[in-house]
Parts: sequence; structure tokens; C-alpha cells
Amino acid sequence: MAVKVRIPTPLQRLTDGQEVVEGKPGKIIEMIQDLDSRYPGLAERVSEGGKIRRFVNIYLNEEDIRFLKAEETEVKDGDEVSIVPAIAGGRGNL
Amino acid sequence: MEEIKPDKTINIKGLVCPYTFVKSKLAIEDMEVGEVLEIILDYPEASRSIPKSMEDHGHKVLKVEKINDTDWVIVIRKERE
Amino acid sequence: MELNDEQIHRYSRHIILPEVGGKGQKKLLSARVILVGAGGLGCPVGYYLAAAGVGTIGIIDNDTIELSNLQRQIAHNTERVGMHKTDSAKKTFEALNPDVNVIAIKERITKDNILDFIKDYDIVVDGSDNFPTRYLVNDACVLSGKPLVSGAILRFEGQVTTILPKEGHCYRCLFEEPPPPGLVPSCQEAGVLGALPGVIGGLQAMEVLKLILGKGEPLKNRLLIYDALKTSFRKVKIPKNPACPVCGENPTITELHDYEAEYCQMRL
Repeated sequence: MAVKVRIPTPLQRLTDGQEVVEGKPGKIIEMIQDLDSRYPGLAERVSEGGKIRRFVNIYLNEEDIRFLKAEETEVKDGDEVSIVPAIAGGRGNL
Repeated sequence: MEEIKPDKTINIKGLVCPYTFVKSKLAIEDMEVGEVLEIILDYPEASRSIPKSMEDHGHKVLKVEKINDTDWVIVIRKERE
Repeated sequence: MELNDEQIHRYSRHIILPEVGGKGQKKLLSARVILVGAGGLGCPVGYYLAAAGVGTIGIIDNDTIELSNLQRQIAHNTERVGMHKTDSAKKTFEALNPDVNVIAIKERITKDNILDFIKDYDIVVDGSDNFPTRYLVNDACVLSGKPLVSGAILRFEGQVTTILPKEGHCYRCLFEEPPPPGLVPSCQEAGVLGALPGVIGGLQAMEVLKLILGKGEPLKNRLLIYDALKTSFRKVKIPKNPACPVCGENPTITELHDYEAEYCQMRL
């Protein structure tokens, strides 16, 4: 069992169309960097200089990680992480 | 049995479901808790469905009576807003 | 106000609901709701609010109908291509329900006019298709204390949230700032499957009706995310952010700004 990571539609072209990919347990920011090694470009869309971009939210289960330990939040096997970008009609951001 | 004096009477003869209940509900909404509504109707199904719906809405059915070949009278006490 | 016989018939399926009744219907008839946008989301929201008997519906939009809109914007039709969207929506909604007074506002909203547009309404509905408008509407609603039902769509995904200023989160608590223009998708990347705005607009209309009736739980401090391809609905928490630049403890945004200039004008 790994971490289940939900990829929003605008980023699914980086994950070969997959809506859910497996992430590595540990700190969120490390998990994203690890995903980037398999899905190049993903980390840059979601983060910048080790920080999650301000128009993208990451949820650990139902909780926004900004109100947990932000990028340092620990995720473990069985957790579900969702990447949720701001969207606006025709003009999504990712 | 003591006769209950209604505070309001509506005659909904000629109406069919769901308008029988719609009219009855509008009438009881305008009344105070504890007041009594008398409904006169001639749609057979409503003689069964109105008491049931009124109970579902938390009101008290005091009487359901067939008063002649075609008509029923239903008496309801408003129990809650 | 008393319901006439025609209204009793028209709204009978509302009146028989314990949560609505004649009293709730009268609340709907005296409610005033303003829609930002008469496009994909504004059409179904306005359509359902009109059907439900929401008495006054304002609609702000400066666009005219294009053929490419009709794949999803259900209040308009082929004969009306070229007509102002707000005029078309007014015709459609008033034909559905003559009880409803639709106020068509053919303007582009800006920091200078938005507070004036929303001040006479009880609830604001955001169905705009761009970030500058979305943040402007949020800030205006927070500053003037208006409930805001916000919806957004892209491709196969939709988001809905209900913002009750002071009580709950705002859009900036959710996403602090709009993405930079360089990161918005190109025309080829952005599409919308036709029925998606119907789902999201339907949810927004339901949130509005609940707010007017004072029933149920509004989508406060939650973001609802719909994935059409998976047919999944998920809710995530949105805490009110004490550091929010507009509704936080020490707000840095105390007046409205326009973001429009920073964005290229992409028409879809």
C-alpha cells in the first residue's frame, strides 16, 4: 500500500492520463519531488522553490496542508493526497 | 363526544391531489399552534392522504368523517409551526 | 403578499415540502439574487432560480451570444446569436416564469461599479469564467458582507463553495491569489464538456435556494469537487485563514483592485 495521490485534470497529461498515482510516504514536498522523477514537470506545476504555489492546494485526506505542517506535513501509507488547483471557467491555472 | 369548534373552515370540493393538500397546508400555515382547521372535501383519495400527510407534518388529526354520499370532513389541530 | 391560484398551482411541489411551504415560497418570491455571468453557469443557475420563483434576478454580463456558446449555455438559442446574453437570459427566464423580474445589466464589472451592482441584492452567484472577476467578486462580497455562491468549471471538473463573510471562509482563504497569466491554459487546453455547467450550476442554484429558505447546511468551509469522468464528488475542508489578505485578522486588502490588465483576453 502506498499513498494515493489524486491528480487534477489539467495535470493528467503529465501522468499519462492517470487520475490517481502512487506516492512515496514521507514529507509532502519530498513526495512531490519523487513524483516528478516519474512524471517530469509535475513538481514545477505544483511548487516553486520547495513551496507549494499559492493558487494550488494540497489536501491530506480532507485537510488543507497549509493548516497542518505545510510542505513538511508527513504522509503515510494509506493516506490520500489531493492536488486541487484554482479553476475559473475556460481559464484554469495549471 | 364533545363537538370541536374549528377556528377555520375550508371547502376544497372539486380539487384533486396534490392541490387538496396544498390548500390545506397553506390554510394551516396561517393559523396559530393549538388552533383547529376543518376541511371539507370530495376527493376520495384525499380523505386518506391528507390525514396521513398532516400527521407527517406533526399535526394532530382529530376527526375524519364521511358526512354524505360524496363529502368528507377532516378536522386537524395545528401542533407546531 | 398572498399567493394567487396560479402561484399555488405553479409552486405546489414546493408548498407540500415541510421545509418550504407557502411561507418559504413567499421568501423565494421576495428574494433578490444577482448572477455574475450569463454563460455556462449563469444559464442553469438563473433558469432554476426563475423556475423556483426567486422574485428578482439580476444578471451582469457584457458579452453577446456566439455560436460556440450554445454547446453549454442553455438559456440562449441559435436565433439569438449576436444578441446580448443578458437580454436573451431575461427573455428565457421571464418566459418560463412571469413572476420573476429579471434585471439585465450589460456592463463589464470593475472595481468601481461592482459594489453598486450588488448592494441591492441578498445573494451573489459567481459564474464568471476568469480569475480577475472571480477575485474581484470575492473581495466585493467580503467587503460588503454579501453571501456568495461560487462555482467554477474546467474540462471535466467543477468546484462549488458557499462563502458567508464573517461566518466562514472566503475564496482567498481557499486560494490566496490568482495564478499568474503565464500559467493559464491555452485555448487548446481549455474545454468544457457540455453538461458540466448544468451539474455545477444546479448545485449553485440549490445552495442559493437553501440560503433563502434558511434550510439545510450551506457549503460553508468546504469545497465540493466534482469529477465528471469518475462521477465522483469529494468535499475538502477550507478553514477560515486568519492570515487571509481580505477576511483575515489583519487584512491588507481593504479596497477593491482590478486584475484585468494583467491577463490576456482569451475568448472561449
